[in-house]
Amino acid sequence: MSNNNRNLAIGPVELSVADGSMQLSIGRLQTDAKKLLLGTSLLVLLAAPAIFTGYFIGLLAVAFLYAIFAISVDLVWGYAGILTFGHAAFFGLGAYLMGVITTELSLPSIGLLGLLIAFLGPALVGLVVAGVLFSRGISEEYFTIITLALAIVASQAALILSDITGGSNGLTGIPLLGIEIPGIMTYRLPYELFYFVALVALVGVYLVGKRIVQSPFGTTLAGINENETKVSSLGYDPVKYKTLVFGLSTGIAGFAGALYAAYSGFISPPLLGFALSTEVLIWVLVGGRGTLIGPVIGATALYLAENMFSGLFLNTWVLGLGLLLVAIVLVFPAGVVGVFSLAEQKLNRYLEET
Amino acid sequence: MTTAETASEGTNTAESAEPVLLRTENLTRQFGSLVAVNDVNLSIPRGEFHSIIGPNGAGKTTLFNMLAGTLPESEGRVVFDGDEITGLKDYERVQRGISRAFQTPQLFPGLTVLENLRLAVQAQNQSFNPLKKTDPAHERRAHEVLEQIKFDADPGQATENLSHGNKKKLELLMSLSVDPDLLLLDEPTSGVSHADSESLMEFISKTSRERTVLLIEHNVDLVLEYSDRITVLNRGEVISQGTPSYITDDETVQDAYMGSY
Repeated sequence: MSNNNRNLAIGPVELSVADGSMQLSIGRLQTDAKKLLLGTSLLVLLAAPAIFTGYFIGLLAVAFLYAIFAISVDLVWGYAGILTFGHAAFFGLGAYLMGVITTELSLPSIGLLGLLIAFLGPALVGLVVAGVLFSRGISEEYFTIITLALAIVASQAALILSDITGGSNGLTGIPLLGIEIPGIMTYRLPYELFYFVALVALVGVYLVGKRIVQSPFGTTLAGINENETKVSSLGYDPVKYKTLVFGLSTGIAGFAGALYAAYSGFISPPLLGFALSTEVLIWVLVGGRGTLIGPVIGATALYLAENMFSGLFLNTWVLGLGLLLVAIVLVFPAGVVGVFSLAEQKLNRYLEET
Repeated sequence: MTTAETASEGTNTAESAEPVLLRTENLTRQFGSLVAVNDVNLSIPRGEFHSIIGPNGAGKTTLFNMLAGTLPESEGRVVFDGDEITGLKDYERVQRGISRAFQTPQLFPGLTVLENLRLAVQAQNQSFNPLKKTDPAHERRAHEVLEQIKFDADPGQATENLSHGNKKKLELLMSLSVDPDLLLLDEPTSGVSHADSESLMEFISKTSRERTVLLIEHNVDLVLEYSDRITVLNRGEVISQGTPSYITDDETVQDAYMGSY
């Protein structure tokens, strides 16, 4: 037997000779190609500050933070099937917590402490909101409407509580990240390096997200998304899972918001509102819901495009975005990533046939 | 310790020499003015293979929905393993040992056959740690569960593409994967080929040696062959109960079946 079978593998390409017939398998080529693509993009992004203008790098850094925000939305909407129209409330809450802590309080290592609180605060609010609503048996449609109200309430609250939030003027002078231990050390992150912090944060959150969706917890979420009755009839309490993923997601949104506050140095009520809440849904949808990488691509590409081209097209930009959304929903419901995986399937079929 | 309790609680039934696993008292479900299940009293000893038959609309599935906790009881009590479980949610009842296979397979269409099974297996060891990796033991268990039965499809494929017969088998396997004491089977062989029905019932009968089975089934031949006892429902009420030979001779049962058509 062994004399008749021979395998030769060069990287992802495997050549096997069995009983006189020869087979070329490129089975692992796609996964390796994906890794190669991701790795190359990462290298390009690391080298980007040396290639592009400072203005573009600044845009890219903000795009990465919005990409983290989009991942947080994808976790609840793409994986657990819970549509949220108010996630900016949590992004904004994180930003305001960061802003208030770093400008009003004088605590040691305030920047990093701000990041931690900007994660924990929104996570706690998310857990309470989702826990109370879902345990009362509220349907997901009503939950969505309540999240919408949440964004409106949050942005109004930021206007009204002007003593803390600065009202419609917002908060200014929020410092970049730093570590400060009085009498021992003070470190302030140089402005140019923030781009790398944003990139590392994005890669980190993406990897954590990947780990979450592949965990048994993530499989249960996928089950809830597909058939909640069945999940329940297997002995799972869907309320617990939905509440936990919502809290995780709002925590991540808050973390992204805190980084945004630190980088832009200025925050104002629209950051909590309805417009950003819906914009992130468009990013997720265009990129590909339930894929993690899709929302990253969607958020980055659309944010960059908006800032680079909206000046040229002025009001037609919003129109164009609307038309793009309609086109995506009608023609490519699985988004950009869906188009790629369709092409991959076609390629696989072609390879199998030849 | 609970066995002693259940034994004493079950003394009102003549044949309860064995401890009673499931008992219902005056179980009733109303939908508006319609009484779908009316005053049903069941007493199912541990280890029994018990079938529920009756014409369409007799209230069989509604009864199951109440026992499984997917539908709240309008009136009456459900006692399981000595504890009252009336009003408990479906997942709480699963944790206590009641599992159910739906008549229309309820699967996760986008997940693979093995992922479906793994979700059922994992329900026994739930983890709320979102960073935990999948336990290889659960993957192995999912494979083992599948090997118990003749399943002629690729286990790596999404279940939405499965044939009806395979969907029914998977539904049954998933309900078994949570290792229940009481298995509620709602027409496990409906729409399945004749040959497959026989082997499925053979399999159910084999696994029921370690469990108590409550079966809804339209195929009366299969019911008579496998059941220890049978309950006949008509218009939501129990009209007869007893061994297969008792049921076949009971005229009220024959009338009910004739009258319904």
